[in-house]
Amino acid sequence: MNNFINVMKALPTFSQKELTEIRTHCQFLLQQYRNDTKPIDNEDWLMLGFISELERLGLYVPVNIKNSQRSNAGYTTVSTEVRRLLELAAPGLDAVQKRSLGQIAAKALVDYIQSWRDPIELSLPNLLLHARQVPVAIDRAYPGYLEAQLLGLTVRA
Amino acid sequence: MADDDKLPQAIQESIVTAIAFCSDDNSALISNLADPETFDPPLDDIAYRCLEHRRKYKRAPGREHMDDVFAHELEDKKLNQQYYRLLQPMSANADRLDTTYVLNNISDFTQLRKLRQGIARAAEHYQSHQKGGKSSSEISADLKEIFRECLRIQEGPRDYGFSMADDAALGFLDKNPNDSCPLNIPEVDRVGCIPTKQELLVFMAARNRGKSFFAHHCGKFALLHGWTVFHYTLENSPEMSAQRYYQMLFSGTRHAKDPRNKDGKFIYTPLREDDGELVHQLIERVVPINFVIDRATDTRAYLKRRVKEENYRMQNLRLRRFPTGKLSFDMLEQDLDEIQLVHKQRPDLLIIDSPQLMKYDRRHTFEMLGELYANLRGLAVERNLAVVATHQGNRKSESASIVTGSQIAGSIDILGIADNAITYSQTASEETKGLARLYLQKVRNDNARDMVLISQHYPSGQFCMDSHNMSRALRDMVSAYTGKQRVNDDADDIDDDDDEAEAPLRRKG
Repeated sequence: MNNFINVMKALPTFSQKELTEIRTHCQFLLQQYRNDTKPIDNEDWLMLGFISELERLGLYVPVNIKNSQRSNAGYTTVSTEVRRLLELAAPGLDAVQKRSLGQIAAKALVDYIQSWRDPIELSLPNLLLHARQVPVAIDRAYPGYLEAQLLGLTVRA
Repeated sequence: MADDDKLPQAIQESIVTAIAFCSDDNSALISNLADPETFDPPLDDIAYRCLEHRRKYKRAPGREHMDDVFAHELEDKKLNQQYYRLLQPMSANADRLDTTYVLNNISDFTQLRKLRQGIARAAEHYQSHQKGGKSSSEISADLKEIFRECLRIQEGPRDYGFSMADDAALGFLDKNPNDSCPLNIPEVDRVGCIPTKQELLVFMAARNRGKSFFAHHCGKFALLHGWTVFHYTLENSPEMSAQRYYQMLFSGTRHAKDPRNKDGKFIYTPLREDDGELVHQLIERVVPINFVIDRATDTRAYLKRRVKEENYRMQNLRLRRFPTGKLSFDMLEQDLDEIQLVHKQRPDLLIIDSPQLMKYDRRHTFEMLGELYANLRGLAVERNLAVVATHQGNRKSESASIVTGSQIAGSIDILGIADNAITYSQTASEETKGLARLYLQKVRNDNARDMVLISQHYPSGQFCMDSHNMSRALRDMVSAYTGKQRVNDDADDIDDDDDEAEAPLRRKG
């Protein structure tokens, strides 16, 4: 804490150039810190699966998802819930296998959407909007695997 | 009795003596087994009249009533001499007759007489219809039918069942492990939903979804079990069937370059480790490939060597091919009889791929298909063999995620007749992953309605590499999430993700 007080006291004595360098350094450290607190296990592998599936299909994926419309509002909550269910259904998967599971889930959702009588346009916002239907789509593609906690086998097979 | 040629004449007189003059237990059995049509005249008439008397009064006419039964014949001057000459020595010998001996020989006598009658009937039929302008193929078919009737093999003493006080009632404790053939799918073997002697196993799947592969899988493991297998195919060519058997038995592939092979090797991911615990690590195993069909010369040399090594087993597998819609049940029986006579082979397992393609009256599909399956089950009991039949699902089964018994094509009676029934389900996604599910639709002697996940390796012709029971650990959670209602475990209550079920979800889209 002493160091922190000393730095705060010393800050007004620095020149503008020095303050700019300090700010750059702080930003770098903050970035590092953020990465440390968000390990790969907590990444949204479902979203990565959607992007991967859309790329596989040759469809356009917006570069900055945050700037897209409000269509993906609430996605984070849904995604967390869906991922929790899928992780329960596929226990013991490591981070790489979860990414693979995300791709399988995305493919199942795409197949499911395309099986509708009136399929919607395949796009990232639409996939995010229908993310809550991933378990239904997976149960359609792999019936009973969710209940039997055997979903992990689809990653391995 | 030393002269065997005289046996039939002597034995038929003894049989008629037992029917006419003896009233012990053995003679009652003889009366039930005797067929008057197999006797020479006038013994046939005597036997027929005495049997009628026995049916009415529950005992033989005997010396006391012989005059009453044959009053007309004995009064007739012409017939008197003939009947009296026969009945008088019979009456004299009746007390000394060993009815046990007669009972033991009556089956042989009847069989021999039926053969004799068959030959005579065939000759008569041949002569009359040749003049009558029937085509040679029609006459040939008729003659075959006559001979088949004659050659129908009847073995063993007549079975009258047993009472619960008999030792035989505890026979279920002496179950012979050789009476059933495990399929190397532990979850299926455990409940006994496997080929079993005197039972019919039906395997049902949608069109082009591994029915024949299952039939070959059964054949393979029956062969390894030491059984004799007759595989009747009405769909595939015998060459194709032979190829599949070679692939299954000796692990071969069709093409050297297969999109599914990785770095020149077929990689397979097992469902579980050797200790039986399910693990989720990406463990890859190389599937050994011993031959490639495209390399014909090498493959021929390899397979010849292997067949020579395993000759004692391989000769137990007989492939029979009949054109679609040409094999009737009678022809099947005839074929089994002929093979038994010519090659001295009797099957322990009879595979029919599939009875739907057999010959029956298609104007009455439902009734005739049910009757055909009843006949097949009867055949299994009569000849003490296991029958495996493949059957196609109906149109709904094509798109069903879980194929159940209600989706069987044709008569639903089939599932009632079968002892065990397995349905096969596979979605397009599962197919790409080499996964499929077996649903134990009907198990005669254990718990049914289990779902078993299997992994397959079709490039090397393997129907099942690994298996795992599909429990419902997360049932409530998944049901709550997906909004599905699973009322009970009954087969027909399994949710099928049909169009109507998903309609509300789609509207949201």
